[in-house]
Amino acid sequence: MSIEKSPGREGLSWLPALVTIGIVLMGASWAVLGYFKYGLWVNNGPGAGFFPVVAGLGAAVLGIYEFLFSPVKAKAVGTKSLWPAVAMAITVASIPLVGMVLAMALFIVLWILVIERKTWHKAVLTGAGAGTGIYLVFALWLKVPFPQGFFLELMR
Amino acid sequence: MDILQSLLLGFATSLTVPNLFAALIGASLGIMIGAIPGLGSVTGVALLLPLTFQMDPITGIIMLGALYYGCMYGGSYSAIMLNIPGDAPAVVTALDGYPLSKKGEAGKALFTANISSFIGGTIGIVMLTFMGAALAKIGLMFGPAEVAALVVLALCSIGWLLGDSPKKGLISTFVGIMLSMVGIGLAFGQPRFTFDSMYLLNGISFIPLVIGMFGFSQVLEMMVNRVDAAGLMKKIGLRESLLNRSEVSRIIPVSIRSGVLGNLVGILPGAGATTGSFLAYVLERKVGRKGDELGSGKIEGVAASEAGNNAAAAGSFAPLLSLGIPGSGTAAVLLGGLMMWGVQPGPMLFQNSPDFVWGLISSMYLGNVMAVLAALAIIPFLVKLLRVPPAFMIPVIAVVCVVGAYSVNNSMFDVWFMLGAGVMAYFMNVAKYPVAPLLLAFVLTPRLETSLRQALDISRGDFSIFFNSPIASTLLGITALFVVFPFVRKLFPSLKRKAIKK
Amino acid sequence: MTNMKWVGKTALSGALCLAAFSGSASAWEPERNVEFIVPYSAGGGSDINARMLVEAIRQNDLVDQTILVNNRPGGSGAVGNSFTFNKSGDAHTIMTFNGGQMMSMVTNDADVQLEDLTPLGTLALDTLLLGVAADSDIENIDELVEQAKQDPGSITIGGAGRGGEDHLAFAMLNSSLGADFQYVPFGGTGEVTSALLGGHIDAAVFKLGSRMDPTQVRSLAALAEERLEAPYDDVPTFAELGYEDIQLMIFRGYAGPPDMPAEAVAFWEDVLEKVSESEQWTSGYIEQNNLIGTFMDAEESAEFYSNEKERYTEKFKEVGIIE
Repeated sequence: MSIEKSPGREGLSWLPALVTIGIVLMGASWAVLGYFKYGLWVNNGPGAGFFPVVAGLGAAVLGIYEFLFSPVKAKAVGTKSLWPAVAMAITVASIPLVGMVLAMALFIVLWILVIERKTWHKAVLTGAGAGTGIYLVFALWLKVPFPQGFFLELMR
Repeated sequence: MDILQSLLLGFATSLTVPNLFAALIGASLGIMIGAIPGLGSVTGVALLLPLTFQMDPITGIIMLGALYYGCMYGGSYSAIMLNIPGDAPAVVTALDGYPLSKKGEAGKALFTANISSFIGGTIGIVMLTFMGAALAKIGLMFGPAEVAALVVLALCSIGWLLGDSPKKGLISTFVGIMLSMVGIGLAFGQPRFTFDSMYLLNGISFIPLVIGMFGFSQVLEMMVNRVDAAGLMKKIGLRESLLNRSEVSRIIPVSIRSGVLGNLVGILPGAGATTGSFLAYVLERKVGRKGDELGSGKIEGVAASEAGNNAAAAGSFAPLLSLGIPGSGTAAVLLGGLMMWGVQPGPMLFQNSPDFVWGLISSMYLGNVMAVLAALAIIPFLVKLLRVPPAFMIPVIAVVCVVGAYSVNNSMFDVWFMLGAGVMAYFMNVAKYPVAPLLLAFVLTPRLETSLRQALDISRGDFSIFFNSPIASTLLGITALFVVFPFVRKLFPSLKRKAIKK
Repeated sequence: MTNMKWVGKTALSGALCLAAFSGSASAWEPERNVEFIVPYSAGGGSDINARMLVEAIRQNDLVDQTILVNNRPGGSGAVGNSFTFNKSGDAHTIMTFNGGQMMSMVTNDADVQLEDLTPLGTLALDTLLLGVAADSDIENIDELVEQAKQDPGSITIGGAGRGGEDHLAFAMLNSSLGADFQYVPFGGTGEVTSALLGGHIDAAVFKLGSRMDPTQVRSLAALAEERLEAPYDDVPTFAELGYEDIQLMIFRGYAGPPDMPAEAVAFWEDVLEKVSESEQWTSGYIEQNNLIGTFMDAEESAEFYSNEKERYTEKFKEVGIIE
């Protein structure tokens, strides 16, 4: 396995193999469930398990081949690239508490301040701008029922 | 020329100042709604529908028609600029659109999208005007067996997109098929792979999946690869964004080809704009002069996809107007609107309310023109937006992904699902598994499963239904000859070569 | 003021006057925004129903607070149902509730069932018809049954979806007509029509509300309780043809969360009754959507729903959709 070395890309070189293993496992379980639970062939035609079995077997067999014989010339992934996912997961988890619009604005402000280390007024300006935009377009105009958040519910 | 006269009459009723104004507002709103990830023309039309009840029916339908067209235009913007397709057909647009953006040619891609949308849409509308009834009759010839054959052709054509690593592409395709099997399939009515979650009963929601797989994974990629953003950062003025003459002459034939094909596909019951834009793209890959380079950021790819899906959108109106059968989700919502105004679509519509029909058709011409004008005015601002540095882009795009995913079904489950899909797609990218085949297989396979099952229910399990139908057997023949055979040839030498290398 | 109007209207509608409510109507009123849950996407049948109801309420000043439509699609209604269920005791949450929604509760064995919700009232009914293409040589039910008997399974009947209204109607036909038909599910009524007109299926069931054009589709019989109005007035009901079991009225009603206070139920019941008598509703919704206008109060609705639920369960068991 060769890994392209570039700043921020070190580490997690085992990831491609893991992805392939994941796909093989998924394929295998789809094929097994499809065959035994949903049925391959019913009423003289493909049953509910037909496509799951075909695709599952295909993915599993090709995946095993890929895992065994194909050199993974993958760009390695730095843990840094997972920051947005982790940060956003925490933010989304806080939505029931603070509400959608505020959570999103706070995410932007904190991200620009803490991760990007820009000045606080740039951060607040971007966060406030995006928050207002989301509120105006989605909540006010398109009437998307965003979660209001626990605190706002209390005030009501 | 009876039709021409009626059309002129239609223009006479529709070309008034309030109507033009309604068309402009509709087109601008449509572009905005279409450009917002998570919202598409169905939502747009549904939201605006109650508002139009207070209007004169003709003004109302003009506004909705323009909104519909605007959405089709706007859908390509986020696909090109952010790699977040706003709807299923835009997945195809992103294939070449985003690479163009990365090269700093977002402006050109956007203009291409507009011009080809305009050409495709116009072809679609002209065909609808002059051959609408005949086309709708052709559409009726496509029963389950024929639709199944068409989808097989489309599904197998994914093979052409797989590029240098066909095996990985094939694995991706299989993953897409597996994901599409989640939920209660129409054909069988039993829940599959839902893990007892009611959120998965109706299957995986496509838009949150796309937003995650394209948009959010993009955010993760931008974290480590800010160099990519350099292309976006390149100063692009309006002048560099405009297409030069040779580029225009490159996309016009593509748009015409794709428009005609897209329109024909759009007429078929339930085939949809995605099949239209995808088959147009695949056709371009086969017959186009630069076919092989498609996917690396070629304006021809954007043109084929956009012309194809706009023409298909116009095509889906043919069965609506001449038979009263809605050909797409949006057409179904519009049908609700028509009935609210007391207009009953169907074979009698052209006789019973000619001013309304021709008003509607002329409003499509109007909507298309308004949409292209509004879009051209917006592009320079959009291009400027791309110059926002990644430090600000990353958090804002991440937020747009979350809000967009939520808005589709007003569901927090979809938000979590989108985040998961984003991480998964990013990992797949790292392992060099392409994501586009996955999404296309995801859209097409349930269609195939349903049609296949319907056909066999009708024939009582007799597979000859596919070969006795001239349309189906021709389509299957094309599939075998031009798609499966070359792909197998491509797959096996590469297998051999790699085995030898080992 | 509203009371005055109401007295006038009920006097006109005579028999519908339900004196029991007049006392409780003013006992409770919404104090804040009302959340109106629609368990399906924007633009669908339930969504149009909800938005028209809100419009009729607004134009007649029936509720002082704002009513916000909140689409919670997913799980064939299950997501919206459980959203409402979780608002237990809340007087400010109402939801559209229709026959198809209840059928999917049954077929999917959903967590939230009819018993977990509080029916508020029913304003519209829909029914189904069995039809063939206008150029078909099948003229009536007897001919259809005859053909199916000669070659069991040869007659294909299309419908929208599996485990929904159309499929249930098919199940009734199949078990009561004494012949073996083949059901072919499609993605929507539009696709069914295409397949029927293209000659790919022999017959189709479709809802009255989908307004099938009589020049395209010849309706053989209706699953209605009584004769339909024009243009379907020449279509016999199955009961008239001697098949009393084949009858299906799909309701479009409303429900609230469990343990909704009785005063709130009375309030909404009252609002719904006034809407059912309003011009906006009868001409703007019922007529335009080809539905059958009705008014059933909370109690009648609850009874109707639970009777229907029993029938649905029984029929779905018969055709093997549920065990």
